[in-house]
This record gives sequence, C-alpha cells and structure tokens, in this order.
Amino acid sequence: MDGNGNSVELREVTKRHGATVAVDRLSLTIRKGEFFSILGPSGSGKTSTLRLLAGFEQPDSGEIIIEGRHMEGVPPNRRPVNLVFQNYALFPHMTVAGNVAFGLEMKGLPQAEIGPRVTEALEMVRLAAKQDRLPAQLSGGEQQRVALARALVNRPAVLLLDEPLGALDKQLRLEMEVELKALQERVGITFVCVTHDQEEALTMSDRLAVLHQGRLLQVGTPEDIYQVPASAFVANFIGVSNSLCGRVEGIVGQHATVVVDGIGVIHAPAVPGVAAGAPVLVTIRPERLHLSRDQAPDGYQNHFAVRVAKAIYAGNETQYLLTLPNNQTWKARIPNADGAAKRFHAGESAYLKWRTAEAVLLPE
Amino acid sequence: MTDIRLGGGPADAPPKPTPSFPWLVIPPAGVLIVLFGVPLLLVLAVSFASRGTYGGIEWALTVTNYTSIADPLYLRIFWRSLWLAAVTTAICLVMGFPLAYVIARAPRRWQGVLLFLVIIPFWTNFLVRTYAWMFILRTEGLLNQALLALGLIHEPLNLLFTDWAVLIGLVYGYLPFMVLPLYAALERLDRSLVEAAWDLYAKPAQVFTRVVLPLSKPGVIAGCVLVFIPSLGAYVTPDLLGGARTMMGGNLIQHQYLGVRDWPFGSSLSFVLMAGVLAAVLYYLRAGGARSLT
Repeated sequence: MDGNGNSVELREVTKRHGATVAVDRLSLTIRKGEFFSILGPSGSGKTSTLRLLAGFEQPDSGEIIIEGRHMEGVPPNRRPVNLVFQNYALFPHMTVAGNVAFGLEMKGLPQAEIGPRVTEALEMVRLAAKQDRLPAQLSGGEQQRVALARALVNRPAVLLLDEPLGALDKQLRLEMEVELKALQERVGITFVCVTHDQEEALTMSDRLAVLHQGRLLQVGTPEDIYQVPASAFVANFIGVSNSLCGRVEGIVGQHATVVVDGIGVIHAPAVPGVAAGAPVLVTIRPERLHLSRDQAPDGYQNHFAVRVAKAIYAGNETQYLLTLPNNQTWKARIPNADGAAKRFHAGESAYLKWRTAEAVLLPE
Repeated sequence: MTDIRLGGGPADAPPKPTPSFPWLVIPPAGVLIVLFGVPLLLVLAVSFASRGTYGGIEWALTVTNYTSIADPLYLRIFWRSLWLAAVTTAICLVMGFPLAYVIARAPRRWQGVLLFLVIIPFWTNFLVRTYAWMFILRTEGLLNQALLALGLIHEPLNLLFTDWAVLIGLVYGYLPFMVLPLYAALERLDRSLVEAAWDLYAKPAQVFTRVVLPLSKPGVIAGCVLVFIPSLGAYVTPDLLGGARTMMGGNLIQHQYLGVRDWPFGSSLSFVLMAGVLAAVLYYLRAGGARSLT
C-alpha cells in the first residue's frame, strides 16, 4: 500500500485483555502532519490503542501500518514513533539534558550531533536554562515540556501523547493546549493524542475520533462532531447536551416534525435513515437556546414555556437550569451582553425558543 | 532524632515545645550496651592479653596476638574468606536479580506467594538445612546419584569438603538476603520508565543497564552488604560442608577459642575480621552507592 498522505492506518484492529475486548475491530486513518485526537471515557480503549501504536502490545487481529510499514512483530525500539507518557516517565537519575539525549544515544548518533540537537529541542520548549536540573527539581509544567522535548528530539514520524495535559492544573492546561497545537504546526509531525477531555480534543485537534467500549463511534473535524454528533453518546460526551425523546410524525424535504409527550410538536432537520414513526432523540446544545419573557415566536420555530429552577451568574454568561413542561431539566447558557435587566431568576417563568436548524435529530 | 517525641505525657497535656527525653530508647539501648558493647570491650581487652600455659588468660599487655596474624597461614585463611564471600555475593546478585525482577513484575496476588516461597527455608534451622546439603553433596549423595543415573558422569564427583560445597552452601543460605532488598527496590520501579526507555530505542539490554540497574542500585547495595558480611564470618557452612581443609575466618576463630584454647589470639582474629568487614563495606558504599543512597 502507498503510505503517501497517510501516517497511521489501523485496519480492523482487535485487542482483548482476558475476557474484555479493549479495542474492537477499530479502523482509522490518520493523515500525515495532522493533530489527531482519540477521545473517549475511561475504558473506551483509547489508551490500549495508543499502546498498540507504540508497540508495547500486539493486536490479536488486524493490521497497524505506520508510514507505509507493517508493524506486526516490530518492537517499540524499532518503531518510528515516540510516546509522551501520562506521568511523563522522565528518568529520575538523569538530568534534563540526559533525558532528552537518551533516544539519540540509543540510536547511536555521534556525540557531536547529539549536543546541538538536545540544545535545540530544549530551546524549542524554552527549558535550555534548566538542562542540568534533575526532573524532581522541575514543576509539573516543566516536566511535561521535558517529556515533549525528549520525544520530539528524535524527530519521530508520529508523536503519541497519552493524556498530555491531564496532570496539569486548569490554568496551565489552557496555556499548554495552545502551545501544544502551535508546536505541532511548527514541527509538522503527526500528533496522535489520547484524551478523555472533550474541550482539549476540540481545541487542539484537526480531526478526532470518539471511542466507546472499544468501538469507533465517529471520526471527523471538531466542527463535524460538535455540530452533527452521530449518536446520543457522542452528543452527550462531546458537551453537555439537552435532549428530548420522541417519535417522528412526518418528514417533508429537509424538515422533520417530532411528537414529544408532554411538550408537543418539535421541528428538527431531517436526517437520512430516519422515517416517519421512528423513535428519535432531538438534541440541542445549551448555548443554542434563547430565553424570553415574550410569548411571540420571533422567528423561532420551537417555543414553549419553562420554569427557571436555578440561575448561575458566570461572568460573560448566565447558566440556567430549566424545568420543562414534561418535568425534564435542561441547561441553557445565555450571554450577559444585554445587561442585568434581561436576566432571569430562580422561580420565574420564561419562554424557551430555538430555531429548527440548531437541533440535531438522532435515531434512537 | 530528638525531634521525634517518644515519651508519653498525659493525653490532654498540650504538646511541649522542648523535645522530651526518648524514654522508649532505653530498653533496646540497654540491651545493646550490656549484651553487645560490654562483651565487645572484653574481647578487645583480651586480644591484648597473653595465653596462660593451660589456656587461661594472663593480663600481660602485648601486641603479639596481632603481629602473629601476619603469618601466611592465617593470611591465606582470611584471603580465602574474602574471596569466597565476594564470589558468594556475586553469584547471589546474578541469581537473585532475575528472581527479584520476576517477583516484582508478577501480578499483585502472586507477589505475596512468591515472597513467601523465598522466605520458607527460614522455617527450618540453618544447621539442619546445612546437614541436608551434606546428604545431597556427598559421594553417594542425591546429586551424584542423579547425575550418574542420567549418564552425565561415570564416577561420583567429589563435592563435599571442597570449596565448591562451601560456595553452594553459602549461596543457598544467603540468597534470600539478596532477593528481598532487590525486590523492594524493583517493586518501586515505575513500569513506565522501562517502557519509556524501550520507546526511546533502547534494546532490552540497554533498558537494563541504563534504567533498571541504576534505579535499583540501593537494593543492589543493601543486598550485597547483607550477603557479604555474614558470608565473610560464616562458620557453620564451611565447618560442615568444607571439612577441615576449607577453613574460613569464622572457623579459625572458633578453633582458637575452643580447640587451641588461645582466647587472646581468637580475640585479635575477631577484631581483624571485623575491621576487614567494616573496611570492605565502607569501600563499597563509597565506590558504588554513596550517590544513589542520598
């Protein structure tokens, strides 16, 4: 097979751990130079997938192809990939420079070449000044940058990252998300990043895959997955989503009408494969909802009365918990730009509105 | 040490800012002083005395007990002891490391069982176990019978009462003292460090020399010290398995005390042996371990 354009290819890869299937017939194609995330809850098989790519484990069936080479029986030390470990796994008995030089030394590069490349890698992560420190003398963020430098200095075809930002505090994580993406664009190496944090995956990735119980649920750009989730699980996992269970009443062109008990008729965009009479889930994101004191539709196709159960002021927006006529609780996030006068308080009645195009119809 | 409060005041008393006297240290310290310190001083004193005509001690101050150790006869025995202890330590290390590694990497529930198996020999008296080795190693013993039956040898090997028998006995006796500290060190070793080295192009042998061995150094040092010291002073093993021809330092001292009844010379030999152990351990710590122990 030609490896042009594709950096990593998994074909029907299955991996069992005892009785449980960690990875279930997973097929994925990761393009050269892209930032690809594998997103899933714990136990979804995302870490197993990464370990299969690194070579620590061998698939029970299926094929893994990296840079056009079949990886069957190839041990980790002979694969063109490097892994950034979740706990960084820096060698505690070596200095920062010693850690970064390790891979090049093992490859047998001449010392004259190792020195400049180590310096270059440490400058890239802005740690050249601390090259003689031991890992224990560094902060968590610095250790993480050493781990990145230690992997990138080898110029691997693919960089694997296992929950790279998981051990950092919130503030540092947001900074590192931007930094990691910038770094990837600069070095042009394929990044495969495993994470359970949807925000992280959406921010950094060119494309991402959502895994659940070892199976691939959806692959696409962050927009694709966020806007058009392929299943209720993806919709919920990618972000807090509101949903209504109902039955399709009729479909006219691109427009579906759904009957929901206790609420009435809801309008949503039709999707292929869903016919009249089918049970469906209508999902809509909290930030797509509008709240108003005015009953008039104002051009919104969906509107009904709700009660505000809770209002949480969050700076640029207010987060509401709303009680629907069918007693379901929904979340809404409304910008505060219009001033405090328009905000609602707990116990008030309001009208909830949204446009047909904002909702996503999912087969149940 | 003094900042650890060992004394118990009334439960509701506020903590005192001044460290209280560590009362609980008194009993063990007392035992050590009375039963170890005082006899040691006695032996030191005796080592400068002279042997009476009928084996008693005459308090005539002399250093001849020390100068006469320089006799090649005794030096050879000490040299043999050092050599056998060093070889025993090396063999225990080479055999104990893979064993400790396997135990440390075994599933949790198996680790306890495997450690238990390492410790099980301690349930039987060391003397009894050494007698068992005599049955195994003697000319018509189990080992020779097995080798003859397998056709590997055509006449029995002469094993018992040789250096080989002593070496086998010492390695057998002290292997657990190597395995336990090595296990403790390897069990703490983060598995992901091994994987990281592997991922960074290290071959399995390089993973071992560059990551596993340096990080388990404290265990290696502790194990070597724990095997080397008792091997150097071993008495039962060389006595039973080595016979009269394979004397080690411990046997020489015993022989002086009980055989020849020359207590002063036995005492000086004891002190020279102790000094030798101390020097060897200090040298080893300085050369190999000082850095990794910090």
